[in-house]
Amino acid sequence: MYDLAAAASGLELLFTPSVLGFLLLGFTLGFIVGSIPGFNDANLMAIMLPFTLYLDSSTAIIAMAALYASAQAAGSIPAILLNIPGTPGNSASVLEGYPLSKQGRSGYALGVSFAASAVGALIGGLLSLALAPILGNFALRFGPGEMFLVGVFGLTVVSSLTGDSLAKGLLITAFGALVGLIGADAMTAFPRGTFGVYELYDGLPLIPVLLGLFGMSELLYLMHQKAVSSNDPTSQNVAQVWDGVRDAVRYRFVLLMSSVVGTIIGIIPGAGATIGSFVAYGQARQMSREKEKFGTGHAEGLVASDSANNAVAAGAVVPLLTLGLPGSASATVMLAALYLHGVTPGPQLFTNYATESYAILMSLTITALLIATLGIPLIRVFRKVTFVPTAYLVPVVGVLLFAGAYAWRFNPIDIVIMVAFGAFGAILKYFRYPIAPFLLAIILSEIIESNFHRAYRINGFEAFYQSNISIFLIIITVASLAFPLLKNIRMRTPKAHS
Amino acid sequence: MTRLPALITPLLILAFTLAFNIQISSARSSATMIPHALTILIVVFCVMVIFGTWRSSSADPIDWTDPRFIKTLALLGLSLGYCAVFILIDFHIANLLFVLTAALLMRLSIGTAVALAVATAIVVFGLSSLMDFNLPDPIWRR
Repeated sequence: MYDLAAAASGLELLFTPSVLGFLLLGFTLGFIVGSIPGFNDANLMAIMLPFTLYLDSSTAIIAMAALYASAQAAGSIPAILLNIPGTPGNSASVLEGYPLSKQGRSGYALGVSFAASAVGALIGGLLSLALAPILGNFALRFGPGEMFLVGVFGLTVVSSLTGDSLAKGLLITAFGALVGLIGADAMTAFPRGTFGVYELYDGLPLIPVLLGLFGMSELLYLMHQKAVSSNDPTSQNVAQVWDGVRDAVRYRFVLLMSSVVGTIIGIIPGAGATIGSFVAYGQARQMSREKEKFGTGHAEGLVASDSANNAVAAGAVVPLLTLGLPGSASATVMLAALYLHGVTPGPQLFTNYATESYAILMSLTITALLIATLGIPLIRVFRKVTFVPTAYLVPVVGVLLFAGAYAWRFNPIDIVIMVAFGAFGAILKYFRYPIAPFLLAIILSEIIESNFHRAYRINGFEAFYQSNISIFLIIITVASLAFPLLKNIRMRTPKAHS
Repeated sequence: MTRLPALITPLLILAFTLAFNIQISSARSSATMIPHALTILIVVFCVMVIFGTWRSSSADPIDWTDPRFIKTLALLGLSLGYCAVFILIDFHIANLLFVLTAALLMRLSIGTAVALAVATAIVVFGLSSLMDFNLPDPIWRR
């Protein structure tokens, strides 16, 4: 099951100077973007995507994985200092981090957060390394019928777990799947949804769509904030950082428990770091002897939320590599990167790209070590990024988005597509529709359709329920839809009685 | 009336779905099977969303005269203007003009906006040269 020779080659690949250099670059960029509230890692990864096409596939994905993991850690900086999560996964960090800042202990809170992030990323990385080949080996039993059901499950779980309304999530997912079918049909070459635009015959260009939905739509919101912040509350107390590091390590059980919970939640497609950190925080609170201190600036809660959200980042890579199902918005961008580099994630990945797969998983562990060794001292430098005025950010990032969209295939129409999807993304955000399921549906719809036709031709509709795996997938798909529905009904029932 | 703007998204989705279905009306059944299934789902979910919006006590009103809304439209207009300048004149001039106008829209002073525009245009020029961008000829070379 474990290919030790491939693992050794992966380690060797990881320590080649160019790969290590891009890993460091990804780590640094992730740290910077994580410190800027509202401009999350998925946005930067989308912007960087066209530029990574000039790298080989494993270097590009390793750099992105490092960016992803370090952004989760750095996202705590604005969460603790300004009560604004740097990435959605840091939402739970504000519950204990910001009260600590208000008490004048922001340096201490940052120390706790980074120590917990490093441990969470390390445990998550090691668990992912152990679990991915097992899941990959199991996934080899998946035929077209099972792969169709995996795709459908991925869409239903993402649509039901994100956003404030199940109906909105399902609507936007179904619409994304239809939009993903734009282009000539693979079997008959009949143009679908192209409306005479020849540039769309090969399908929607993924990079402009990504840049529009994540980057452009975010800019349209960020432009209304004059500046993220004008004061720097940490100038007096950076010396407390090391006290925080020491205190975080004292909560060994919480660190371990939250990291395991985070990794498991990361493996579930669509759950994401936000859910992972809140679940771990809630669990730590339930099990704590000092429940009453939670919410007042208690280090134990910060340890739970920050170790979990970093473990989620590592866990999300497992289904991405083995099943082609991303566990978060950032993992969705990584999925796009894999496809653009000609690497098809799924059951065959650990057979066809064993060395690269191990290298990607090991890079998560290396990033955890970087968070511990470089991240903690870098707090002093990078916290300043939090205060970049949006007046400078919006014009510069706007031009980078245009250049990125054009760089994909050197066609100016891609800029128009990017702007159109940016406007649509802004409308979706305004009316609180989730964007990640829309993008995931665009990516997965072609795979779902091709596997549907393949399975149907082999064995008719029986192909979708003939194996135990298929039946299990059907059950969890129905459960993923039923669970939020039942939760909504339970939440509404007391209101009806009162 | 305050709930009407919330119908923008489902109506946009329905309009696109309808147009998509009109285009594939003459396609063979294998090309229409999945799109037709998705269309049924979209219509059902649209009805659910519209019904939910109608019953909901909260609304997302749009103030068409809000300066924030106008500013958002202005940035979108600048983005479309970027495409026009790029195609009709030149990529680097489009970069320079976009940063300049967007910086002015963000209320930076003229001096700062010019400095930011020139610096960004130089960086993107370097980037495009490094990555060997296949750019259309500028208007003065056509």
